Amino acid sequence: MKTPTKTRARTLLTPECEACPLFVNQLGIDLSNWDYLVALAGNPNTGKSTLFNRLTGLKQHVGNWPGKTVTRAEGGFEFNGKRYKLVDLPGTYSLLSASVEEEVARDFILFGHPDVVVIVVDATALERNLNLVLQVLEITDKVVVALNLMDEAKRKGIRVEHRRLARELGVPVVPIVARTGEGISYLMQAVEDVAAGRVPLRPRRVPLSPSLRQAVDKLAPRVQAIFPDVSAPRWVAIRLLDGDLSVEEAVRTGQLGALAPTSPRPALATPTPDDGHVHFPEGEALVQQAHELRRSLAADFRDRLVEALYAEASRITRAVVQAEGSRASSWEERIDRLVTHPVWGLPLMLLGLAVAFWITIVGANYPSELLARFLFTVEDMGVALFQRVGLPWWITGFFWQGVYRGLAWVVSVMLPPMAIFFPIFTILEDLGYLPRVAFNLDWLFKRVGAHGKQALTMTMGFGCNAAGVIATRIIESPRERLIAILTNNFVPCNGRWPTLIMLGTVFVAAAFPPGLSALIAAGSVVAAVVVGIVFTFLTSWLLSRTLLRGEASAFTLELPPYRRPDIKRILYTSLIDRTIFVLWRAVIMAAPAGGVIWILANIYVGGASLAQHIATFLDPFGRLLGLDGVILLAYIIAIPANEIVVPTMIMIYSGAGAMVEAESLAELRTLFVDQAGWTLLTAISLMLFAVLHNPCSTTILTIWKETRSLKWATVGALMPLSIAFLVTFLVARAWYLFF
Amino acid sequence: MSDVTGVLVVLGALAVLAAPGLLRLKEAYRLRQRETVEDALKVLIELGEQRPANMADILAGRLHLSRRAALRLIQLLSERGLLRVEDDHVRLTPLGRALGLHVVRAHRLWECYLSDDAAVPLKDVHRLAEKAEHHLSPHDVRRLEARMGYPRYDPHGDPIPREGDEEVDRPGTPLTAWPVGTPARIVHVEDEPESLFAQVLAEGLTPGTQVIVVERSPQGLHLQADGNDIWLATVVASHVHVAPVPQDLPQTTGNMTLAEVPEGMPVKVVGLSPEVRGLLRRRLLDLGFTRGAVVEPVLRSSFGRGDPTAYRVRGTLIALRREQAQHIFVEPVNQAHQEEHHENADENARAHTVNT
Repeated sequence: MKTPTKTRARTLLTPECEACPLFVNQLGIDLSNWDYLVALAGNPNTGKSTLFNRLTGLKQHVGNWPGKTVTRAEGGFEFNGKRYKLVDLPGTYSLLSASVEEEVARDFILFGHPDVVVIVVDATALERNLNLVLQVLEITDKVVVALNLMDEAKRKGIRVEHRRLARELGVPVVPIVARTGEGISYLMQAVEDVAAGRVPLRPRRVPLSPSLRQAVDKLAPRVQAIFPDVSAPRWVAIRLLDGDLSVEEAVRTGQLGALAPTSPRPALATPTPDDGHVHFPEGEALVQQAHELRRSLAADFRDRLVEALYAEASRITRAVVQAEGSRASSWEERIDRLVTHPVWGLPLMLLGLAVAFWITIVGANYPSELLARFLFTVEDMGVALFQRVGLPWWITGFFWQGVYRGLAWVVSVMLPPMAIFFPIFTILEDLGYLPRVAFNLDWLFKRVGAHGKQALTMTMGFGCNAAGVIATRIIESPRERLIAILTNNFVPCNGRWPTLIMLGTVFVAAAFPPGLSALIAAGSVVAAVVVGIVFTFLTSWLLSRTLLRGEASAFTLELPPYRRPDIKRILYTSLIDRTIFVLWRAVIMAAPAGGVIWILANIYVGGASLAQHIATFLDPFGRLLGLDGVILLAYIIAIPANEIVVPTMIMIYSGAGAMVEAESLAELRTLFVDQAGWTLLTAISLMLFAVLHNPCSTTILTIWKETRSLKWATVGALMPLSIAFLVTFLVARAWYLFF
Repeated sequence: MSDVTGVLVVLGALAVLAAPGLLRLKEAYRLRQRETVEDALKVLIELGEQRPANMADILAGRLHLSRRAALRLIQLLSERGLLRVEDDHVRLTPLGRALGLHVVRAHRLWECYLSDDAAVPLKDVHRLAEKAEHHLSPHDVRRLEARMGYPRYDPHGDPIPREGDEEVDRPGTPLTAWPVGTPARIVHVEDEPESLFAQVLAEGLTPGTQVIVVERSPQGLHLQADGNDIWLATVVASHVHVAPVPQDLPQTTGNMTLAEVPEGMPVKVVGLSPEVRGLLRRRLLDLGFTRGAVVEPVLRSSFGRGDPTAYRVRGTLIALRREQAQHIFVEPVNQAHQEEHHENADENARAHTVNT
């Protein structure tokens, strides 16, 4: 069945995929063919995404809301022969603040006309969650409340009488445990009943203060009269009084009526040719009346409205919840004391970081090797095939030793550590540990005018800077978010580890017995990380005093309760969302780079390859920075993918025609020290340059998409580069002065 | 002859080269003139019903012009139909009044934007708005007003005229004329001259703050505001305007702020300081810091010496920085209980009296 309404709702959802940074292919499900549209709403940290994954499995698509940098996930499921499309709305505490997330959630509930809105509610913090439920109930009647985390509530001695709650709210309430799947079938049944209109719904309306009620009573009937199809005239009236811009606009242009579910007519208004704007006099008059009525209200009626919502939520909670000990359990408090301890907190954090690195580096070694062997076997087979067919050497070389080898290199170097690091990160996030890290470190970030949550986006940057830039969405205030975006690059990402590890093993760990080398390598990587972190703070401080002047504004940070992570969901989000996304960009970026490298190494002019010519040309400049021309060239070529810096350097030094890997560390050392003349200064400068230089092309692109500004993308690219030049130059000067 | 031609050609070339620059100069001059005109209208609007005869001197003083320039300005305004000169007095025409009110509106709304959304320090707000006010069209101002949630007062406490308003009123009594011992609410702080304004701000006296005059002497006033003792010189105090505390507002004087509450002590929210505006205010409310909510500091950052601190509010741990916690007024929960008991006792007593 396909009514015009559904088509309209779908066009509203059409993914704007050039703006989807989280790349996931539709996994073989045709979402266009569905019977009911279900929206999933809820506070943050209520297990909303766990429920989403439980309902949809792998049948989901992650992207952005059109025109917004807010992640949107949608998926499908089938129940009793009906097909449902499920849209995951951003987690919000309220729909009133008009932050981007709240706007998206609100607009979808109002204009997207879902058949059912499922609100996921944390049974252990009912009062807070009911605030959102009451607000949604003002907009739509078709609500099912999923009372999640019932197991945790039971453990904490909190009993919720869900039947009483259902009576109080006037909509179905289903207790569930999303993590184990308990109660999900009842939830689906309730969704079906509401979607099919089989349940009588008597949603609770929040009692308003007398003056506000008077104003609403005057306005709501007019809304009803002008837009007879709008389901929530009272709510529209409240929003008009509150001065909600998007609702005002929808009223002014008559769009509000056009979007109503049962109205087949297009817009009520006629577009006037003079300015292209739509004018709808009745709507305009309604907005004017709202302005007039607003003046009769107390200046802080908005405060009163939120107070009324919470008072009602509090009343309902008292009626339906029996708590034996509503406080957090004591082990949670004990862990909180430990991780924020003045003595133990910081070492614990550093230890955690080191262990995560160690697991990643050591754990990735073997699979990396395996993968490389496999991929290079494929190359040998491909070369053999091309030769048998009789293709000229340069086609074989360009395709297999250039394009394919670049690709294979990036995949084998990058995929295993990513596939280990991202799940570790997500587990720490889901456990609730990372917000505590932000809490611990906020005082530092506050000093440089930044936000404590920057600690989390930085940690994410260790995996991939582009992913770190996207992760800055968790920072609400624009100024602090921009700082986090522009400085994320100073955290060395996965692609830069090989360089750092190589330097660590060739110049540092080589001096130690082999048993310790992995540990020493990890140690030197941590040293490089510290340099990067110092520069993160330095530039954050500089930015908040120059380009991004201002005081740290709204800071609120939720410390969610410690929860057992949902491993299946973690594997899904970290592998599919993050790893595949990063891998995909590597594929499209590294392949052309591989081709360019091959061409540069194989076109000879006057006895030397193009690469050697360019390297010679760049050499004086490189020397100035304590580096050399080859290193600079490798970094220029490697703008699309930092992974291929080392292979490219080896290629040019050894005069080979394609990227190669050294057979052993000793050989590498011979090549760099004896043949290329590297000194300790070269190693130090290279390490600094690797940490500080410009972000890769994907990260620059991501900065541009996230900020929607060419200016900030340019700053994000050139600021680190000039800092890298400056720092290496100064280090080299100092070095020559003393040695 | 050929020399002359050469000179002419050179001059012509120079003129062509200089033309864009001259045009730009002219444009800049026009813009500057418009700013002066609009500033003059603003001065006239702010003077309200007073119609002093020495308008040229006032304008010269306020706009930093020579007397002659001020006279020329009045001439220009009257030529444009913005004011009428009536036997030595000047009076705004409806057109001039509308334009002037638009500029005042733009200025004050822009101040709201700077203070609420851009987190610009209050002392810089006025200076920045002085520039921006001339670049906002009525349409821009309308959008800005909606975006800011239709504020009634700017961050200095000045009322923001609505579209179509005829007057701006300035409520409040100078603090110097306020009776000793009566709670008052600051409604306006004169933002000029800047040095005095900065002094007032430095004492934490922003519009919305509640104060009590404890003592008055010829040199100055002894005030109490949010539990702090403040001394203000009379000349400074005359720049602060106050009004009675409205009935429905919670009295915040004498209450402690959330930042002062020791760990583990549950307290009850009395209200948010009026200084918390815009997005932050809404966010704090949405997170549940509403009047009557019970809040308990549970976790202090050991590295930042309690900044931030995590509070348990409505079942969730929310960390706030000190700046935010300082703007949430609270009272001990026990005290509130006791008051309730008192009330109950009072009611019982009353019931008892009625019965007997």
